[in-house]
Amino acid sequence: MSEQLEPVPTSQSPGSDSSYNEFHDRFGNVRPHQQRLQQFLNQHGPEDVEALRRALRAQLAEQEVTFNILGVPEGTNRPWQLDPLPLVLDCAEYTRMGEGLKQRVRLLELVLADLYGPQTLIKSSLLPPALVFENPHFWRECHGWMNPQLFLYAADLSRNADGQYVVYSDRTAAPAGAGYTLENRLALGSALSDLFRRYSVLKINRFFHAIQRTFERAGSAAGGQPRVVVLTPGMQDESSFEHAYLSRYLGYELVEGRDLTVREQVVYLKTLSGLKRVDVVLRRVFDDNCDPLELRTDSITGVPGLLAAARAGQVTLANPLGSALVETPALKAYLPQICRALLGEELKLPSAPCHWCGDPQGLSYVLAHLDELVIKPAFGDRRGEPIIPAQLSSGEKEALIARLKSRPWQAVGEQWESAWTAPYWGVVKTMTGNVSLRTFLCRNGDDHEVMSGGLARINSAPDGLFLSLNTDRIIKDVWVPSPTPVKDLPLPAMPEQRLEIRRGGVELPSRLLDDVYWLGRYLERAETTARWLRAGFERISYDAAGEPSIVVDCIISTLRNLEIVDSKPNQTLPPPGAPDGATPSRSQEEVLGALLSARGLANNLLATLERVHYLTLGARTRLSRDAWHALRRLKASLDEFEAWRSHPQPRVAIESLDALLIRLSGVTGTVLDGMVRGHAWLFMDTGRRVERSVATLTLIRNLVPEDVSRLHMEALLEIADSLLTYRSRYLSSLQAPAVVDLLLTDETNPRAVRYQIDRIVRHLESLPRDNDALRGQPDRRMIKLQADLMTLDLPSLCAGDGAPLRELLVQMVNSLYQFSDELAQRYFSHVGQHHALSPAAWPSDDNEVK
Amino acid sequence: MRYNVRHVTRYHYEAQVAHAHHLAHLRPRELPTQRVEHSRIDVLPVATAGSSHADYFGNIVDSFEIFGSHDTLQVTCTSVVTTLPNSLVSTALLMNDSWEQAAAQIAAQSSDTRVSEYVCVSPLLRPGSTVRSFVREVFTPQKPLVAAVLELSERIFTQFKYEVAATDVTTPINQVLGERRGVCQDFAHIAIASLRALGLAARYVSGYMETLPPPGQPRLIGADASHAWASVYVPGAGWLDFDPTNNTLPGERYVTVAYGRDFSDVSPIKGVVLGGGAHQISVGVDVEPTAPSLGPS
Repeated sequence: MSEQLEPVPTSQSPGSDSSYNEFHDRFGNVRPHQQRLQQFLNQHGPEDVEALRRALRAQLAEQEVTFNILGVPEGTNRPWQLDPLPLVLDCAEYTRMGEGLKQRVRLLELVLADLYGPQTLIKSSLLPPALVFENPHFWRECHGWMNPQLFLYAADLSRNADGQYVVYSDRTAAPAGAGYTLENRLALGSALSDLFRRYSVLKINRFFHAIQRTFERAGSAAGGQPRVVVLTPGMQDESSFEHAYLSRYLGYELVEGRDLTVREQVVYLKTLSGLKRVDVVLRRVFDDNCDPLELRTDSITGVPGLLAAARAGQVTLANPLGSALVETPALKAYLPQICRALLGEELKLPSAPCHWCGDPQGLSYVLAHLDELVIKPAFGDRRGEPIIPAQLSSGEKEALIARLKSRPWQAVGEQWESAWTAPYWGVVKTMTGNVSLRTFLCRNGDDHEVMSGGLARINSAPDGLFLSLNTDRIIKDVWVPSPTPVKDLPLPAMPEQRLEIRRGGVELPSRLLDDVYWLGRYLERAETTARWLRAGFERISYDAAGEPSIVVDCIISTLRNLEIVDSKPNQTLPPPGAPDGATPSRSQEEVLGALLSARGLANNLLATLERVHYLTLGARTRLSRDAWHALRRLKASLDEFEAWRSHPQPRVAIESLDALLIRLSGVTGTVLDGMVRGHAWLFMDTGRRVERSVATLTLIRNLVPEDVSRLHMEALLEIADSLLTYRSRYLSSLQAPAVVDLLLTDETNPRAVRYQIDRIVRHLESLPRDNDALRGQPDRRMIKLQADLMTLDLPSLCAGDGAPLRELLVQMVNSLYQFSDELAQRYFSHVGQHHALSPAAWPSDDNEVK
Repeated sequence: MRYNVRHVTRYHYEAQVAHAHHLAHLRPRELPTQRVEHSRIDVLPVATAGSSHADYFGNIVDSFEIFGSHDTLQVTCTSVVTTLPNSLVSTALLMNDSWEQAAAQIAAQSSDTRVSEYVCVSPLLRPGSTVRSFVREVFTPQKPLVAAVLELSERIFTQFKYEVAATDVTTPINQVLGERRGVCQDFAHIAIASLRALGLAARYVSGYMETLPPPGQPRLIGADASHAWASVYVPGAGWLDFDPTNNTLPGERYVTVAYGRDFSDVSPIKGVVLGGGAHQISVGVDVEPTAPSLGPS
């Protein structure tokens, strides 16, 4: 390059001989494919780049790109850092590398076909038998029938000092990261839209379209539109976010093992309207855990009978069970000779030099070159950090040598060069760090499609633990510029709402509806509790100098009746200024504070919001983006209440509760009003109405005491949000039967119990029934409750001390709780956990039968 | 010999099972030394679906599914088997090669997957120093392989106590070696692990044996129950079965059901159920000699 741009300031000198710098060549010149990035850095100062980094971080945090459950108290929170600088790779080099990967995945498919078939690789001594027979990922249950198609494959790569791409790990079972790539691309592509367009970056959605086409073809053997599901181990899995993201992008249902069942060797999704046949399972569950009947019996994430269904050819698994075998690190040592034998070609892409200790020559090499190598488990590198002998003490090293000698087949020694470097943003300036790359291939007809992009990781070894939890990492989006400029390149975007349009909410997994029902209940509970606590705090503020309010007592006792427990015995504190020896009793203010935000109390507002958050995460694929954001904003209230505990001012509590109620109405607006009127909506709304009925019934019971006063009734109407309605009807005359009617039996008041029950009855009409003629127990119970409410004789119930009314209210609450149980029994009872039986004990005299 | 074999397994569940999947290794396989005239599995309550296939080792696997509430399950396998004399035993007993020669020959032929599979570590049998020192006491340098195997069988027979409640299917062999007690499965496992520790090939055999308690003689252990023994590969001859529980070489009075690397490959019945709570299992076996078939030949 004659035109010398100002070099990027780096922490290392560019172009040292032992490494390959992706940005500069060895003379310090910016490589051609990096020049636009260089221009970008010239035009934008550190403040701009830093602002970009922060914006990206906020955007990803919002989307909860984490490895675990966020916001749940015990969950770990690990948002990764997306580097604002993409890793730009030369297209011609990348394409050549992709050709190498295509050959490699074709080869790995042939290896699977052989090892799960005739095993000629062992018989002709191209592979040592122990490498297969002692391999825990060789599942003999899959032998003889496996159709070795690697639908999805990932490789971890680096470049050596000569710039040659080198493969470090193969991922063939359930490769992770494609969803994260998508998420990064969507974030960075829009944040750097100018640069993205100027580079004409090759799109990665081609790759995902290829996946969709392949699955449609694979599943269409059964005829009609195939049903594809993404099988996730569940929310506890480190990559659960990615599974949700990927399934949403591809438009497939995200399911857990317990959402599926196998009947007569066919896989079904359990839905409210019955069992729905599943044709393709994109599994994010590792081989061992897919079927407790034939694979690992202690698996709770799998589906019993899945392997038999695959064996019978009734379902396509992507990837097929047993495919983890070729992830075996030790296999790398034998790939060149296998490639020659099976493909008649040389291996195009070298692997990292690898020596298996189970081979005597391998062991002696490893022992002789210990300090130059990294020691890894031979059969799988998913657990534990690799051992670097050069960093061990002499005692540790001796122990390692002894272990290698006594169990040689369990280890490999690999040579890691880590020679590839690239610039990344180091908060105040550009730095240079080691980089490694994960990219993906998917099957496309008989060929494979290479993703034009991937995930790059800064400053860690290319060890295959690509998405491990151990450190904070900087991840880079990988850009491969098109050699020919593309006009009007569209920016990457998430296909909006494809799921809801296509499914109409008819075929949701039953388990999800159970979650959605409870989401409805907890949302309403949060709203009710917040409303009442606000009323309580307001009264404390007005009456600050006076007697403790009776109304506040009523609020507190109502909340207690709803099993919102405000204290544990040992947490009871004497009120401030209480005389020594007085019965410890807490001020109303303290009790309200505990009901608001004390840690570890069942059902208080904080606990309720946490449950809302948890259920939101589980249901996220079913929510529209707006609904998701509305629900996510509730997290801000959680944080406020946490903070409130250290400065418990009633005024601040009122402000926070106001904010929460506004956020909750946002949720009601987007979730309930904006949701398709399918089963999910019916269950969520039923949940809300059950909760609201219970709350109102309990409130009336506590605010219509024996010596009911005007003060009580006013508070009752205010808290139940019906004071204005009452005044418009009855002006200022407050009488118990009129107040109770408005809140209990008035079918036109949306806050009245009758209104809720009418809605529930209508919802139940829309749910599927086994028998059209007969009503189920939950239906009958609600119709009876509706009839009771229609025929109440309020004046006589309210006469005297009102005891008959209170008794009736208690009965109605119990009836609603029973309804809730019956509903679960009726619709969710097949949502259970299977378990493996222990094998028959050895026969003894006691247990013999004749 | 011709036998009627009947193997009944009953499960009693504490709560109703809504849906169950089962796999059974119960029907005897066909062998050069064994003809299976007939075999069948009956399940109560009646299975919704069933199928069978040969597993990796060539054993018969029956899988069945019960959809519908049940709190007991009875699986009955009945078969008619004719066992034949095994000429291999006399050939093997004539082999004079030392165990070291045998191990070297097996190593040299490691590409023979039918043998090398059984030299390798298997799920329940991980070699350790305890096993190694145990086997070294018997396998002294240059001892002929077959003689050493017979001595190993005798040593297990004399030094270990047969005790039913002492172990279960999850007891590791090191514990059996330490406590010197167990059941036929444990003894077979010890024999197999010992041989593999020397680079020899050994496999696990499940089946039954007929008991003929002659007057005045003790009833053989393992009678009228499912039984297990071991088999060793003798280069030049083939697989030689031996039964360390009774210190015998299985002959016509033994019925083979299945073989594999260890118990985990041939577990008689496996299952995964939805519901059920805790469960109890009872097992009964009859091996009844019967007159040869008089049907058309």
